[in-house]
Amino acid sequence: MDEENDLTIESEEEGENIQNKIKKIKEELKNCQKEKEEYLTGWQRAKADFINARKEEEENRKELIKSAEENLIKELLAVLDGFEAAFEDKSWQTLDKNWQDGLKSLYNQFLDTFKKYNLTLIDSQGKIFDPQEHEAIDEIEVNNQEMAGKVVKELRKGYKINQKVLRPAQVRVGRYKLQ
Amino acid sequence: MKILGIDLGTTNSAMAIIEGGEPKILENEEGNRTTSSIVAISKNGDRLVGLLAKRQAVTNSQNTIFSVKRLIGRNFSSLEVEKDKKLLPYKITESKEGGVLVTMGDKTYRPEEISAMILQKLKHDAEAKIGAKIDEAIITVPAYFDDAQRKATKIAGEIAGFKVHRIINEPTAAALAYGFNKKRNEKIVVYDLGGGTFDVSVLEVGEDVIEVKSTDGDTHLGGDDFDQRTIKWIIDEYKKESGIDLSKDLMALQRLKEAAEKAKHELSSTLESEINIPFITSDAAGPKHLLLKLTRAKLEELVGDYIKNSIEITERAINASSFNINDIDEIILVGGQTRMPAVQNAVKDFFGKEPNKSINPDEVVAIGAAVQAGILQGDIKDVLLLDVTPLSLGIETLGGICTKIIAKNTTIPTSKNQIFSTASDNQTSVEIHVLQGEREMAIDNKTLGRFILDGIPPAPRGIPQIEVNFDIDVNGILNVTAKDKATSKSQSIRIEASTGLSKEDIEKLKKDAETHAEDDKRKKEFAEARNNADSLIYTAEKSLRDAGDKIPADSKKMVEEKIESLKKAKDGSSIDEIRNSSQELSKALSSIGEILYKQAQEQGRSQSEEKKDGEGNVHDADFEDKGTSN
Repeated sequence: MDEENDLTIESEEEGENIQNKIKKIKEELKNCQKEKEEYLTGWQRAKADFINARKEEEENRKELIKSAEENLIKELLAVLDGFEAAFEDKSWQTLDKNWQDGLKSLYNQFLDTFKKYNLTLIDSQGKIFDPQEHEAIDEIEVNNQEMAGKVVKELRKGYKINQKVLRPAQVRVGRYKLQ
Repeated sequence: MKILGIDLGTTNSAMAIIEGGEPKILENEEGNRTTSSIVAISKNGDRLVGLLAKRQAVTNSQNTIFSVKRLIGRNFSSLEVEKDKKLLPYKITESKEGGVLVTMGDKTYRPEEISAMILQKLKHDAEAKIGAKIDEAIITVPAYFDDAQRKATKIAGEIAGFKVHRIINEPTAAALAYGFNKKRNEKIVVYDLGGGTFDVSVLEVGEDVIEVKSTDGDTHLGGDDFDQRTIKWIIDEYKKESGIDLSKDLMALQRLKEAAEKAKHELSSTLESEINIPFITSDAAGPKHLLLKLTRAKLEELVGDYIKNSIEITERAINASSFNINDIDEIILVGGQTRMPAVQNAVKDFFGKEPNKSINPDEVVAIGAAVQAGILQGDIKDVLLLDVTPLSLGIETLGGICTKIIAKNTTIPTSKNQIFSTASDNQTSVEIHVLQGEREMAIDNKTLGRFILDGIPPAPRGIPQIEVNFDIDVNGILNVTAKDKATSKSQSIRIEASTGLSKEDIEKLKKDAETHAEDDKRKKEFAEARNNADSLIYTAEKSLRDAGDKIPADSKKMVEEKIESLKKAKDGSSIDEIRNSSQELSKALSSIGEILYKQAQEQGRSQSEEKKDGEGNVHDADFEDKGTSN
């Protein structure tokens, strides 16, 4: 407003012209300021995005290593399953004692290695069925009301790694007859 | 304001969001990129969604709702509901308005309420993942969904607490994910073979809209059927071989299912997979093992009719669209089962064209929904579109090697520094030869400019530090500056046309680099071996000079001989000879190093307070090949 008052107005027409020019310049300035504001915010955001992306990348890399380990261990669980199936087999007991011990050692070697990577067994037998850790494969009628909704038999072992379920235990759940 | 893009699927759902201008899949709480579209009320009244609901389904089948997408927005009396009612284990009844109600626990729910529970979980997990509230969403539906089904899906989103910006078609989302909305008048076929359903759609990209011209499919055809066939084959084969029926053995069946799925996945990249399940069962004779080979050809034979069927449906959809098969510009593959090479080949053979499959087929629809969200949010602003340098930029270094400073495809504006040194003693100037291109040797790349930095104080080679800075501004203008760190004297050049190449030129240059890659690598290795030899000779001569008569004459003579032979090898054309001679000289140097060291130690013992001089000098000139050429 001040600038306008400072101007000497020669004639009305010229004055109007100047007024228009000022108006235009003011308009331009306003646009410039708005643009500047927009660019500055954009720049700040881009910079922040970059810093955040870098932090995230670091986190992701750690996660990636962890998940690569987890995937490998998950695949190898099939080997443990094979061992366990062998130990469960009827003819296992007929095997020479030395052979039994040797194969058990092999199995334990696997387990010990996995334990270093924080692999733990999920306890399921007789526990209340919990979908967080168990996967129900089928149901079976039980005479004892106590066993209703509980794990009657573990069909395949479940494992956790770093407190996370790597593979749920596959279980058979009891259902009380009268239910 | 963030808008979540959601692919609300029949068996699995996925979600994605725009982050930094790019769509990104968000993982759920369990860390998975897709979430099972299953909801349950557990026996103790908890609501379970996703994986947890799936795990307890067997013990609670009447209170576990899956495939609710098959029912949403439909009339109870419709043919589809009539059919699905027989396949779904939970209770389905008619609502007062003639719609569908499902029973879970002791309550009935409309399908949209069930879908809302899935969406709620996605919302919750997405918010936890990005650490901010998300109130808005774009949800995809199959192209054949009618108004009532779309409306019901929208309501599901609203119940979940979203403002649903738009309901978009799944095939449209897939086309958006590939950026095909920018290709005016293109005709696109989306072939979507998921876990349980098959959909095919024919699209046309118009001015501002992607129009669905026709759609067809089979609501009960998908990857699960492929799995079933594989499992059945294994059971049959094993029965033939051993006489044992595994289909009744629950424990064996679990291991078998997993192995079958693994084999199916493996056969997408290999031609043969071994199904190996030791101790699968046992009989009177002892333990039994399952060991079968499944070839890709066999798998293709097992599911061939499914694939054939899907192609017939595709043909039907094209006929219904009024287009000719030759009119189709692009084909997009969606759904996990399209990873199978036989499916890809069948589609390719049918269209005579390579289908688009670069985006994860399980995620492409959610990605597309996020792209649509990005368009609405205006995330992708023109002013923020940043260019990349199409070709690498660098300078020529010792031996005619092109040392890259800025790699191709670096987003600009950008700035990179690297320190170089001199190649010979008392060198007072260096020439900076600015190059563009992907080839390993300077001579094969394009010269953008050269300049000389002089006034470097005389010093042994490798001592001066010359900092070379490459800076490209937002307009692609390249500024190269070389500065002597000792004197701070600098020299620079400004190159305007650093990106002024046509697309064809760039492609040609990149191709050149590819075709010459092997040859270039050899040349570079050769130059590097020579550089190493050069600096080794320099070190050796310097050591001999410095040590003077401290070295026994015979050792000195041996080193001198090795130097001579390396000099000869260096001028020859055999890289192995250079390397061998270098190694020998290096060994000889270590041995005189040892002698000097021992002498110094003995000297040290007799004059324990005096400084030891000789020892440090043997290995110190170990700098790498960073000398600038001159």
